Amino acid sequence: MDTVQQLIPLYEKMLVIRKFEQNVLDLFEAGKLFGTTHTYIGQEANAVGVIGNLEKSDIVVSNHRCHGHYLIHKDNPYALLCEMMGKADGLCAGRGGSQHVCDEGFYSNGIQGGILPLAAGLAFARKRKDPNSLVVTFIGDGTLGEGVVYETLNIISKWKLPVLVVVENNRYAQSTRIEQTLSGNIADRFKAFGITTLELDTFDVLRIKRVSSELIQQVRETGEPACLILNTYRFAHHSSSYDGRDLEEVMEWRKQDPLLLAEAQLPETETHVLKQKVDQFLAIEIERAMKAELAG
Amino acid sequence: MKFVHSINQALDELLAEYEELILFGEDLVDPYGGAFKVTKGLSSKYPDRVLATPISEAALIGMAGGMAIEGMLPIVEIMFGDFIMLGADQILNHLLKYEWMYNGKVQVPVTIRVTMGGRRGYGPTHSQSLENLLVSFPNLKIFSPSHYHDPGALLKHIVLNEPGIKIFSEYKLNYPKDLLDNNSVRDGLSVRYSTSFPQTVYLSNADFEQPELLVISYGGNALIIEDLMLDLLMEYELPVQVNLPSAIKPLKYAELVQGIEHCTAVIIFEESTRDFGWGAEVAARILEAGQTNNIDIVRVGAPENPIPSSRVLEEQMLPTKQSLLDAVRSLGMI
Amino acid sequence: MGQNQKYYLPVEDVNDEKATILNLYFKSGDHVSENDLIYTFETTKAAVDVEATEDGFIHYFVEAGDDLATGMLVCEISDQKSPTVPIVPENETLPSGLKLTQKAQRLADEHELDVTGLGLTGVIREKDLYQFINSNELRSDGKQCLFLDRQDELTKLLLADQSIRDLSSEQKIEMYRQHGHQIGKDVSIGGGSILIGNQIIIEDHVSIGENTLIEAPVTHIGKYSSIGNQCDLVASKLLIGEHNRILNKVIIDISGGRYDDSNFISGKGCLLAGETYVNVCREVKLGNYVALSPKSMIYTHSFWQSVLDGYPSNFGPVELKDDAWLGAVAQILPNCIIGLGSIIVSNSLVSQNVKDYSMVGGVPAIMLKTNLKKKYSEKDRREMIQKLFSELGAWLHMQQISVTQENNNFMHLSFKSREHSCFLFTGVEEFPQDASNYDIVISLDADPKLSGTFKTTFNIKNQSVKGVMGTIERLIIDFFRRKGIRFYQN
Repeated sequence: MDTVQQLIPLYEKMLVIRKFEQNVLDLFEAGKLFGTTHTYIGQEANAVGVIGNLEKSDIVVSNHRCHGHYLIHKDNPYALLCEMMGKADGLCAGRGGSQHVCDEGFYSNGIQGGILPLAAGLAFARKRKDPNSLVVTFIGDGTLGEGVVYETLNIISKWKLPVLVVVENNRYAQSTRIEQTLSGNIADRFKAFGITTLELDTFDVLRIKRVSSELIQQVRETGEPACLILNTYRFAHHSSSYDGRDLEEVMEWRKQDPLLLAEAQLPETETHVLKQKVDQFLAIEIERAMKAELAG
Repeated sequence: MKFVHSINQALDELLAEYEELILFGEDLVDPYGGAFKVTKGLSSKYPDRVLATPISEAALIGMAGGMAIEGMLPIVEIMFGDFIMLGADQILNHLLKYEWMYNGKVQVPVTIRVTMGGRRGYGPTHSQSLENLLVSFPNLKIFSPSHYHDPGALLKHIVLNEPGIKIFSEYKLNYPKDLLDNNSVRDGLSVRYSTSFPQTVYLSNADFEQPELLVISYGGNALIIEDLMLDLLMEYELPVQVNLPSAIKPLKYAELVQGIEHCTAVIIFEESTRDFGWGAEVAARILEAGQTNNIDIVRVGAPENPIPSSRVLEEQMLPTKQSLLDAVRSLGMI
Repeated sequence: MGQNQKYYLPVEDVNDEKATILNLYFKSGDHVSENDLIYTFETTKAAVDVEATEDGFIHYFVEAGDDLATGMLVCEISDQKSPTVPIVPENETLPSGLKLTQKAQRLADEHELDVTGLGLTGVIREKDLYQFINSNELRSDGKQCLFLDRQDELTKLLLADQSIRDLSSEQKIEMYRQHGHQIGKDVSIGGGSILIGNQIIIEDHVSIGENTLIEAPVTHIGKYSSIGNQCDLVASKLLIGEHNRILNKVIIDISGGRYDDSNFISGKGCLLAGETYVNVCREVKLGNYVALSPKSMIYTHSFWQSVLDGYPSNFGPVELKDDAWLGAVAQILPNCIIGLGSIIVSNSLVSQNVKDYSMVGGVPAIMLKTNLKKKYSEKDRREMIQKLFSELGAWLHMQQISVTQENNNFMHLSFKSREHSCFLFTGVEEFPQDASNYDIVISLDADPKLSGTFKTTFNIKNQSVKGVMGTIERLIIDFFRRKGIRFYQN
């Protein structure tokens, strides 16, 4: 299959995330959503690249910034939107909201690092039932400050549990630059526990997919954990509208927008059609979600 | 049958019957068999389901959540109950939330066995009775058998029949005690049981004639209370009833206050710190039920202070039989 | 003093506070050699053998089978034939684990009881000894103390299971009957109320209010008596006559001690008004038609300070004879007899006997009037009742009854759809031919001529009322009651 053919479905998935999140920001500003929300804009290639290699029976354990992961693993924007709007059709009927969602084989929770033991426990049970199954868990650079992360890394390595830990290093823990909080480097942390660790500096979805595919295959075959560090960047603000980052810095990173990178390799007619298709699809889903019954 | 053997036997039976059951914690494999020997022999019989873990309470408890969601029946042992604070985030912000937060899409049956209590000279960080703190975790169920209960049967019941997250609190001094029932109870005392699990134990020093004093407590506190009851019998013939629920949360109110209608006073006794705790909750329930007419309520518990290691200082710090006698005296009953 | 090696019971298991000595392999005084097995003890998990670490004479301080705290001395090996540590003799204890509470011990001491010979086991309470004290005839008068039979199945149940109090009246009555107690017809026992006793007899038409406790080995309540709410009636014998009215919050108790005559006995038609207090440490006996007004008190004991310091200790029964009236908040002290038809003024304190038909008052009470009871002639009585009869008509009129007064002896009454003719018979009237037309007859004296077919007959001399009891009849009873003239149903 040539690059274009491979790229088209990945590009479309990234578009779904991007446009979903843009709509979420609009809805948030229009006061249609409850609480706060953390968008995935800029990091789309990670979710699409990694989760694109998974089987539906595999488990994804995510964090507060979970929309992108969810949309790729479970592909149900209506249910996710409903959840954020507090609708009865929401993934958790409005109980969890943006950060705390659950769908078969997909879990997220809002405490930094707290999900790692969950992923390990799920993997422990899965390994006994279905040796080919695995758990992929996403954490951020900020999460590396949490002690429970290292407790769990130690155990998944010692007990040989099939967990792929994906670190999405977007270089900021909310408003704090990674250089201010992180000593040493990320990869050495995982290597210290004897965990196979790869690190990528790219927004190229095809590359992420290829590398993660190999790692996932390895985890499946050995039943042992691995780590993938994806150095990335968040184009939108952390959650609410405050963004203390330097605008020039953001603009510089935006040149590496994974969607732009993909579009550069695709015929414009193709991207145009896909954008329209995704717009139409999401418009219908948003319309449905807006009309859905409130929970409670 | 000793307390420790009852639990050991229950774990053995559970492991034998339920393939999905897994038991893990620090130092619990043979030949050591756990700091209090509760799991002795089990890792030899079930080597792939009785596991010694790194010293990582948060990870252990969190993993139990993941296992339970995937259909296993995990039992976590926390060597000293004090260490449960290291896993408190996992209990409060994860395990206890999953089922409701995910709108019932998952079930999380996790049992966490902990040891609690002082009077062994283990000092400030190995002697606490943190039930007092854990009762404030919404939806957390907490059980604590006395040596009049059948701790093994209770453990099996909560592992198999109680949904959600359960703390099974084992009082350290209880382990070597012989389990007592009406045939083996000390002369002068008699015991009755409520009919439904989890059972409440009722003790009387007056053959269940109308009590004047009701003592409400749980778990290992029964060791001190039985001495108190005998003192009050032998020296004063003061009829006392003691109610020992095995579930300290949720409360079964009717069983908790059974017999209160004849009493002129209620003492709520706990080794935990007295203020802002379980005893306060029990007192409030009695108040709200309107049963305080002509009844004095007194709480007896520990002050807000670390527990000393010296047995002499510890005796001064923790509530004792003397503290209870002082309370009875302050009520004008003796 | 030669060398010696002491062997203490080691801590083998972290949970063990004690262990059992299984076996001793030598006798004290035997010579043992290094590496000889000297004893075995058993912990919660295992039997552990202990060997000698040197040669010498062994002395054990325990026996096989002993439960021993860890750290205790088990034996020593020394170069001397006798032990270097003195052997402490065991404490002497009562046989078969017999333990007496302090109260029981005092009682046993007082009555010089040999408790070991009584066949008792376990912990002995004061009450366990009473039966032996009685059977030993330690009481000079030979009377039997009356206590609840706490071994009785129903009594045990009533004492232990408070939920019985909340059973329905029917359920409670059924339960009492099943256990051999006699409960008559038309009896009601209110919610929260209970009777505890060995022998309970309740006659017909008795009502007991709510949250009332009646606890006496023997209880007998006569027909048509009512007991109010929140009463606590505790005695050895509680013999309540018929037609008694015991109102709310009445207390009969045995503080001051239970004696063989801690009895309460009342005759017919007595009233114990609200919050009356009757202490029956000794017997209290009320004749017929005795009234105790609200908050009045009867004490059968008075003592506090030491008799050695000249203070009194006074115990004794109290009796109020027929028709006596104890005023509100008045008190009677022990050993007082209140005479027939006498009146004790409110707030008084009676400390000595009161003569028949006299009025006493004050603190302490002194004689205020004598010869209260008057003997009127038959003629005067007839005139008085005729006057009352017309007063009755006026009063009934005020009670929304339509009244047509025909003469001193006859009136028509109508209420709702019922028409009554009401006739007063004072004993001298010609009894009319159309007697059967009279619905209500009020008769001053019993007269055989009055055996007609009247619906309702009031008889003042007999204090009886027979026949239909409707609204008007109840109003008539009410009116006469306020004149001290009472009618009782049979």
